[in-house]
Order: sequence, then structure tokens, then C-alpha cells
Amino acid sequence: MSDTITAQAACPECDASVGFGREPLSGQVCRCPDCGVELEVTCLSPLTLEVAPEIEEDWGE
Amino acid sequence: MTLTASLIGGTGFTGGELLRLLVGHPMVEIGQVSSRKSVGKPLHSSHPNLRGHIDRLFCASEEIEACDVLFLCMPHGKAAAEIDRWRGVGKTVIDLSADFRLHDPVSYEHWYGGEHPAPEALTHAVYGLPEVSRDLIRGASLISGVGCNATAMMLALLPLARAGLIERVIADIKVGSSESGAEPAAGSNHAVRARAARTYSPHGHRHIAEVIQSLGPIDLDATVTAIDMVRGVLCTAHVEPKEAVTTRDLWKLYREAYGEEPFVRIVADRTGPGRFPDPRVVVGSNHADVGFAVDERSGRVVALCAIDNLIKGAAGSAVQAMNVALGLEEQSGLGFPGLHPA
Repeated sequence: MSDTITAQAACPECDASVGFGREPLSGQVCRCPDCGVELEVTCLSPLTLEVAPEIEEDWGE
Repeated sequence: MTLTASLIGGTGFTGGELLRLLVGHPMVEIGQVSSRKSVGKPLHSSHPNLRGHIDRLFCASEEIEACDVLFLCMPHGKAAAEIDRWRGVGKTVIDLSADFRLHDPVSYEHWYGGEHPAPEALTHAVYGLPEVSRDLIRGASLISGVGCNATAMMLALLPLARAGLIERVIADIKVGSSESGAEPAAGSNHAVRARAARTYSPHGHRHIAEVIQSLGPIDLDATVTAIDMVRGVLCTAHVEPKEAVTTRDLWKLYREAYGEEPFVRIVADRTGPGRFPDPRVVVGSNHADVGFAVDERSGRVVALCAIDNLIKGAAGSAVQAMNVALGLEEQSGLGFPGLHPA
């Protein structure tokens, strides 16, 4: 079931607990529920998240 | 248990919002509502949104009978002048004016430009913002309402002040037209007020006194600007911190301060149009949305808070304080989450 948390890790940006409904995959992108930052799963054991590269709102203008 | 709540001065915006909240409160029955100008008229003559929700006529203040809770929604200075009378009417009195916000009569005279009409009563009054004085509000019989701009400043800054992090802060505050009340004034007619971006208080706003009283002696000033918005306050506080902080530090501080607060939400997303507090999101609700960001180049902390000035900045906090004072469920009557889009 996708509403059951099977794994969780700390957000590197705000330290919130980020939960996964299914087993996370390496390279998977998710979003922190508190600060909204996009995160990438960079390691499965231990489960590690890093901030994903960001597209700026002004698109570089 | 049902409590009877009456209002003195119920024709203004704050009185109207108070009535709207109390109509939906499961533990409260609205008693009488007085007015100077509208005696004998139905409440919906001033508050058309309440048509069909409450069947009452405005009465004269002399007709107000004993009740459990008496809300005073009068112009500044009026409540204090007759506070002994009102305390004899309501077992719990909640004054939404500025009369009892400051505890020190000397401070009152400095910020409000005249002697306090009832300085002895100041010692009995409790400041009615539960997020800063919840323990004092419990069981209190005289509760002061809050300043709307003060509320936004306090909730933006409270975690930083508690941590002793504020070296200096300037609060830039944008406000809607309902802050100036229901009585027309030279600056409030549509031709003057619409599309305005008018700074009316560049420094020294009197609500600073409430903030310093509640948060301690911080170096604070504020600039207030009227913008093209009916309801709402957005406080953007520029803080020079005493030591360097990171976004992660701020998340910790704000979670510690507000993690258990029913009406304060932390809004500090990295992306998206709703990444920071926006008054439109809290219109009609008792929520206060707070957020923050750190300028890594300068070290400056930007602390934000958005509220509805008529709700969290007035009537909503008053109902919340009533709930706390009387041991009711703190969120009773305040469950409305706001509108989107508003």
C-alpha cells in the first residue's frame, strides 16, 4: 500500500523525516513534505537523500 | 455547557467577524450585541454575510445584561474608561481595542499619546495571544485583544527572539484596507485607497510596543505600507542575527516554537508559488503562516508571517483566547481552513 511508510530518511535541507510508500530506488527523486525541496536518493544502504539539482524560477534570465 | 457571549460595539469589521466565528462556535450562544448608531436594526444590516445565520437586533449598551463572556469592540480609549462597568457585566471580558495591551501605563502614554484612563486595571489584564501568553490566559477574567501588525511581527520573530538571536530587526509590513476599520476616513475612500502602495508609518508604529513587551527588549523598528488588499497582513522582517545561522537551524527553532501550535504553520518551501507566507492563503482563517530564509551572502535572516488582520489579528485570536481562558477546546469555532483561491 502506498500510504504505508516502508522507509524514511532525513531531509538534508530541513531535517524533516521523508517517508517512502514503496521501497526507494537509487536515483529516485522525491519531495520533502516540509520544505518542499526536491531530493534524490543517492544511496540505499543507509538510505541517503541529497538535494536534487534545481531549476530556477527565472530560468536564468 | 453553553456560554452566553455578548458584544459591545458590534457594527465594525472586527465585531462582524467575531459574530461570524461565534455563530459557528459549538459552545457559545450569542446573547446581545450593542451599537451606538444601529439600535433596533438587524445585525445583517451591518454584516450582510450573517443574514439567516443569526436573528438579533442591535441594542443599546445600557441594555446589555449579565453574560459569561463580554467582548468589547469599541474604538481605542472607550473600553478602559468604563472597564469597571463591563467587568460587572461579563464574567470574562475580552477587549479588542488597544486599551489593555500594554501593561505599563508609562509605556501606554508614550505610544498612545495620553494618560491611560484606568491604569489600575492594567495589572489585571492579560495579553490575549495564546502563542505568547497561553498560561497567563488560562482562567483570566480580563483579556486584551492583540494588535494585528504586532501579531504578525511577533509570530515571525518569536523563535528568533527566544533563541536570543536578534541583534537588530526592521519589519516591513504590508496591510489591507480593512485595518483602518469600517468608519470612512480621508485615506480610505475607494478613489484614494484602490491600487495604493502607500507607506503611512515609515517608523515608530505603536504596535512595536506590544512586540517588545512580549518578546523582550529587542532592537526593532517597523515600516507599514497600505497595499491594494482588503484583508491581510504580511510582515517581512529583516533580521541581523547575533551569530550566523543556517536554514536548517531555523527549521529547528521554528519547529520547536510552533510544532504544537494549532494555528501556526511553517511555510518555507524551496519552490513553487506558495513557498512563503501569503495573506491570501489565510483569508478568513485563524491561521498564521510563518516562514524564513537566510541570505548566505550577508547572513541576514528574512522572517515572514502572514495573517488575516481581522481574524488572527483580532477576532480569531480573541475567540482562541476565550477558549483557552475558559478551558474549552482551543480550536473550537476556529476550524475554517481559509479559501483558495481567495
